[in-house]
Amino acid sequence: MILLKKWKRYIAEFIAILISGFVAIPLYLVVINSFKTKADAAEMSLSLPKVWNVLKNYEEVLKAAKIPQAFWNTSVVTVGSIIVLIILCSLTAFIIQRRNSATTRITEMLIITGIILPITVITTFYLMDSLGLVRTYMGVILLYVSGNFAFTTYLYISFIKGIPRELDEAAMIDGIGRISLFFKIIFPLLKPATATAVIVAFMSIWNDFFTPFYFLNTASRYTLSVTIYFFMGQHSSDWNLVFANIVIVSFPVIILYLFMQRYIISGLTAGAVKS
Amino acid sequence: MLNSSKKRKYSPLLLLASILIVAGCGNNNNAAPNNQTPQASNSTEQAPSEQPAEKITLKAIGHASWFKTGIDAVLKDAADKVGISLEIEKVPEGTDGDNLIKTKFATKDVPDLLFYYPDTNDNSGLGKLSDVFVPQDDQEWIANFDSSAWNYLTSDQHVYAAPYGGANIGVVLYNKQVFESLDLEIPTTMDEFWATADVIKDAGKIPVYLSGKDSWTLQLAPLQSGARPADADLLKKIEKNEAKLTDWKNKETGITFLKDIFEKGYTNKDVLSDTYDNAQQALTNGDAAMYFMATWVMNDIVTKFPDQVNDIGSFIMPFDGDASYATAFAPNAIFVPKGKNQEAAQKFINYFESVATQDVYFSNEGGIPTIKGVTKLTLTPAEIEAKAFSDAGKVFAGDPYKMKYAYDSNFPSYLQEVLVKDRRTPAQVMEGIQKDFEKNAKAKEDPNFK
Amino acid sequence: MLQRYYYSHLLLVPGLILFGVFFIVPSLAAFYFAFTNMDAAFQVTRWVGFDNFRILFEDDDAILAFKNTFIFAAITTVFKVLLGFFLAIFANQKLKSVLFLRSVIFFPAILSTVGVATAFVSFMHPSNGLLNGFLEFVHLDALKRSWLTDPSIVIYSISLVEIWKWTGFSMMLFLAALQTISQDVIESARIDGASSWRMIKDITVPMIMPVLNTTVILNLIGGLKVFDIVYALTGGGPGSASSVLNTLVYRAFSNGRNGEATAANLLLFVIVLVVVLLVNRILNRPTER
Repeated sequence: MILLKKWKRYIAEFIAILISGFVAIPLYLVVINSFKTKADAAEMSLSLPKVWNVLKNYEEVLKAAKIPQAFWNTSVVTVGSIIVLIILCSLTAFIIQRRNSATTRITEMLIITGIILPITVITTFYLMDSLGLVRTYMGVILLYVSGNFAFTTYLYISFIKGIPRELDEAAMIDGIGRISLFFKIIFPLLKPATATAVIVAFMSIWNDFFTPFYFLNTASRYTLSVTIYFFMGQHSSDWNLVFANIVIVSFPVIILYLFMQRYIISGLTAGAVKS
Repeated sequence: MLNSSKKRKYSPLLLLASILIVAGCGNNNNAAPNNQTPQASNSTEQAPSEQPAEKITLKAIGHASWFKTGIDAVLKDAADKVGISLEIEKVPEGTDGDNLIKTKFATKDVPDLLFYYPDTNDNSGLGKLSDVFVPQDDQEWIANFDSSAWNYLTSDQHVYAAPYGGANIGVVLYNKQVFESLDLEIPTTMDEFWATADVIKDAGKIPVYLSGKDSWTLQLAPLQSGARPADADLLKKIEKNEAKLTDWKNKETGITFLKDIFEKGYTNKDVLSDTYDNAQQALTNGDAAMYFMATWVMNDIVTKFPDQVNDIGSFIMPFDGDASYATAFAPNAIFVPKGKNQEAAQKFINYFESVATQDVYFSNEGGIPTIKGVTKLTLTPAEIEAKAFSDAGKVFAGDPYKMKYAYDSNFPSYLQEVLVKDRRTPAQVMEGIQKDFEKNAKAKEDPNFK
Repeated sequence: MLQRYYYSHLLLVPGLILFGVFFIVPSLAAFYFAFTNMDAAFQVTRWVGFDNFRILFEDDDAILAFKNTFIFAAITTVFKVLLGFFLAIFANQKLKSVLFLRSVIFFPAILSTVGVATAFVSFMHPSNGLLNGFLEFVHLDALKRSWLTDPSIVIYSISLVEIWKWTGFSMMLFLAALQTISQDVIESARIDGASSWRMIKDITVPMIMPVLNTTVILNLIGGLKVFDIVYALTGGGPGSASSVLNTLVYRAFSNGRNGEATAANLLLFVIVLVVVLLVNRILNRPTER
């Protein structure tokens, strides 16, 4: 934390507001157009709505896209996947980072490869089909865990590098078990990393269109990311409803980010490693 | 842990995986496998709900935006009259949705009813039509349908699809107020057109609006110029590689026309930035006088600019004077895939295509019916005028003409390049689509294209 | 011995099994189709060797797509990492408005690409767009451009949108990394009278080096594999002026030439892998594991 002189603080505050304002304009456009009529929104302007269609638009989106149902489907797969992801990835990253063996080096290569590899519908579909996992929550969760495994593990590896080995060694001398070493000593220190990983994984799964589209989709079981297409037509889109849909779908992610931010920043006092 | 009934359900690979997971953690506290539990319980909680099987529920699939007020009204009616209800899986518009449907057919996960494109053929990625779908030639509904006029729906001399929704006609939509205020008549020759455009331009208005940001809209002009019954033989030759698309001069006329109106300043300024939405606004508020589009745009105009609907009319672009045609766009299609529910699905089709049901559909949604005898229509003036061209035989299915291989997937972006200075000439557009056509033919290993 | 027990390879097994079975194996197996004539219906009748790759290189747009992809990846990586880093330093201050900044800067990352693209298409309109309007307002008319329709600058305009969308993401990674720097180190540096700039250079950067490397690599991969934002903003246009490698893959898929599309995917995979391994090697040289 760098302390600033008073006048510098004011300038800094001003700059912060300026940057926020600049970044916020497109966000404003999305929100304000979600309040307009179809014709008004098609103009895509920043002006205030001529007619405030707030309730009407949001109600229509909630109903037409069956948002509550989609919300439930999305929540189940997202939460389920993230719990498994965080535990498996943090543990895997820990071993890869701490142990320098041929196995861990190959695993790390595999992880990098995994971030780059594109997922392929047809082979994955045949696999899931042969396992009877198509159109099951279980199947989608397994795909999410494996699909985000590389990215999340890679993220954890870089954060675990920042935790000194001396800590492990001290705990080992106390005769701690190997699972306890990780989950009781290391994992709590990874709070900022875990908060980051949760946000990233949540965003990627919550907004993912591809996996539920091919592997969960039925008339009754679709997720939030698919609902935006209900308002986009063959030739044109209902932009007011598209934007209302975007606001609705993004909202939980924003709440999560605001909540998780505390853990990223509070590391300042609580989670930081004293050396 | 997974319970035993679950283990049996999933195949050995998963079993192996779970054994290894358990083994991997040995006797330590089983942090990882414990987290398998929420997954398992989640999937049991949400087992698909079984509908009581009193009436038949058919599984249908189609693009989300195809299911609007018309089909809603029909489905209410169908539940009462034939005891059939549809459970519709709605997929997004465009390639993603198409791919999902193709994946389902490839993995034999076939719906009871498929709502899909009318020009579907053996190369469309659903398999050979005769293997996959029930032919409709002998069904009762076809008596009320002129399959020669809507030959999109046929393949190998068979009809495999039934029409769904309204047909559309590609015309020049024009603002009658603008024409009246400038004392203009509908042009019937190209000379008259250019004179008309001059008057409009001098009055400070945009003669022809181009919405090149939505690149597909640029196709409407060449689609109209290429809508010529006389070209049918040429297209057959092109299919056999005995002629080239570069020989298709009528198509090229429309492209040259785009280039001319743009370069001579008869269009809006930012042709590549302006959208389909912008075009509707400019046409209805009178900033622009004309717009090449099909009648489907009237659905949007009705909801967005209800007060201006009656200002919009349509005419046929006189690319070739009296011998010009408007472009026919077939309605979308419903297919009956072969399967255990094919009889019930066929029953639904026969019900749906009956005049009574069509009346229900078209009194709740706009569009031009293709089933004869439908009387309850909700058409705008522009559509009524377009329908008159159709009734007078001045409408022809120009494009995508039922050709064996697609050639038009890059066509819209080539047209954009015509509107960027010195990027691509109309002749080069034709060369480009010929190249794409050959590529697709070769990919299918057509012996004529070796 | 202690190492073998505490950092047991067995602990890798559960994760790697899931990862291997459900991701690596099906994804790698798919590359087999790159050497076949798989069609729109996913049917394969013939092995075609390297024909699909030959067709790819014959594509008129291939060179442009390569060029655009690398320009895009380079520009966006540099800016997202640099801006993200300085914003993180800035947002790590105890200021009131910073709380707000920290949230707002991340929101674009959450927003769907469709929404972002629609907004920017409107802002970048040459006549009625906010961007040119602003330039005119501050009398910088000379800088006005046809942002998304001028073939010579369109890829840079798309990069700008990508930077706007994802800088907050880099910032968040850096913020999290900054929390792991011990207060003691900072305190003692301050007592030694180190300037802010020196502290960043000598303490902050080395301490967060692993996360910095990761951020670079992740952004680089994202940049080379870009598709969504290009597709939503311009569809690769005008014409093919903003094509990238992944839009070519998409084009082959939508034409139903699935064998060719898979070949393009394989090629893209190999290119990205080579670039990433090279960059990874360079980045990891000064630090040791």
